[in-house]
Amino acid sequence: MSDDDRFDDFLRNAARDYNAPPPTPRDAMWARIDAERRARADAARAVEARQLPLRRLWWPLAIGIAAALVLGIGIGRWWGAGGRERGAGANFAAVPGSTQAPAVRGESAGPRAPGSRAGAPADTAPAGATVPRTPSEPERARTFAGRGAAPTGPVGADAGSREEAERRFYEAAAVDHLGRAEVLLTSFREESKRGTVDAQVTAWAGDLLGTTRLLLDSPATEDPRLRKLLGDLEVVLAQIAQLHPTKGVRPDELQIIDEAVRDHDMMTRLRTAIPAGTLPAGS
Amino acid sequence: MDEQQLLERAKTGDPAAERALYDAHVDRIYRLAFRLAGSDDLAQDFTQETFIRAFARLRDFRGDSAFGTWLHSIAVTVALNGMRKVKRFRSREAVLDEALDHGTSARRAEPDLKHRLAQAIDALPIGYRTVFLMHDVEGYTHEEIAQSLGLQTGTSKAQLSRARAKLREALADFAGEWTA
Repeated sequence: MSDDDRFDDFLRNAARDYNAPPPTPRDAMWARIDAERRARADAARAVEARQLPLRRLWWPLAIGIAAALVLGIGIGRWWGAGGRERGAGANFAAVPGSTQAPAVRGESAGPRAPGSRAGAPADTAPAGATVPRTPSEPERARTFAGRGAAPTGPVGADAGSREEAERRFYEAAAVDHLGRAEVLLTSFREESKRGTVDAQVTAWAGDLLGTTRLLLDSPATEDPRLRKLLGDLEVVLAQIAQLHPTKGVRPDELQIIDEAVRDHDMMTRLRTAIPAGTLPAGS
Repeated sequence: MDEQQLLERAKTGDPAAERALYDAHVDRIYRLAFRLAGSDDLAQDFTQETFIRAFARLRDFRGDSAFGTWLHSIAVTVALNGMRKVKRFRSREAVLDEALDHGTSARRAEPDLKHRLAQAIDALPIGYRTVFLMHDVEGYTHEEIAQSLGLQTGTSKAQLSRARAKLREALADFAGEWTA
């Protein structure tokens, strides 16, 4: 017998003790196998039972989804066509790239900011050219449309570019509006420190309140942060608009509004919502 | 009732036939699982999983090979996959133990032949180790091993030869034990 054969025999004998198995626990293992198979079968049946209603609902669901899609596309096209007409009208009415045209037309339309002279031209008012006058909503719409925000494409442009133009239009409108709201709230807070408020400020707040509501109902509020900001702004503006300076304003009324502005961190949120350089000089 | 009849009945879900097939093969499966795992818990887990899978796939068994061979191929797959997971876990544990032992001055006793052999078998590559345990320890033929592991018979023989060579090298200090 060679060394190799002797080693193989030795190895086989010695290795018998390596991981030597005990007697097979047959019944214990069978019980567990049986239980596990039942559990897996139950789980499979449960999954199938959950999927069955979905399978049954599949066709009605698919038809429903398809109908919703068709309806959505139809509404989108109808809305897009209406928006194009509206946008085209605004473009024709406004002077592109200029904010002065609507301001001149709306000279006597809105209330003046405190400190400005009645009938004074906008460019002579202190603390910013836009403060003395608040153009009405249609004027602002024309202003935004002509501010290089590319609000509408040429007639016949595809739906995507129209939607994009519409979105940019509303974004520009929202930014402009927030800028005006910031100016208003700054004015209000300065006056409220003295315990007074100008009637023009409350009228101005009423005007901005209407625009806020319009923006809240517009696609601009697809952004949840902007929607929340506009919602909070609406409350504050409503409080200011309800003041009656001619009948006298109680200090606690002013304090409540001031606290609302502070608690909602309105000024900071307004400033952060307005991208730098997006407002015209003086806003 | 022969195995073919049992299989036909088991395919229809007959529990008595399933139990009879289990009883016929469970010992070899469990022994092999224990040899590979070195732990009763693991061996039982691997054995149970083997039979659960086998009964679940019984309709796919076409009888090209013996039922025992088919069962062993499932068992080896289950055991080796399970051992890979356990090995990863144990290697992390070993690193931790080593870190804890670091700095202790206790001198360990020299391992005896069995201990050294066990260490050498553990250190074999998993393929060599499986073939060695199946052939030299559990007495499987190369044909059975090849079918269970999906190898050529020649590959099984070659792996056994390399496994033995490695073990001989590892046990060189004990050469007198088998040359005497």
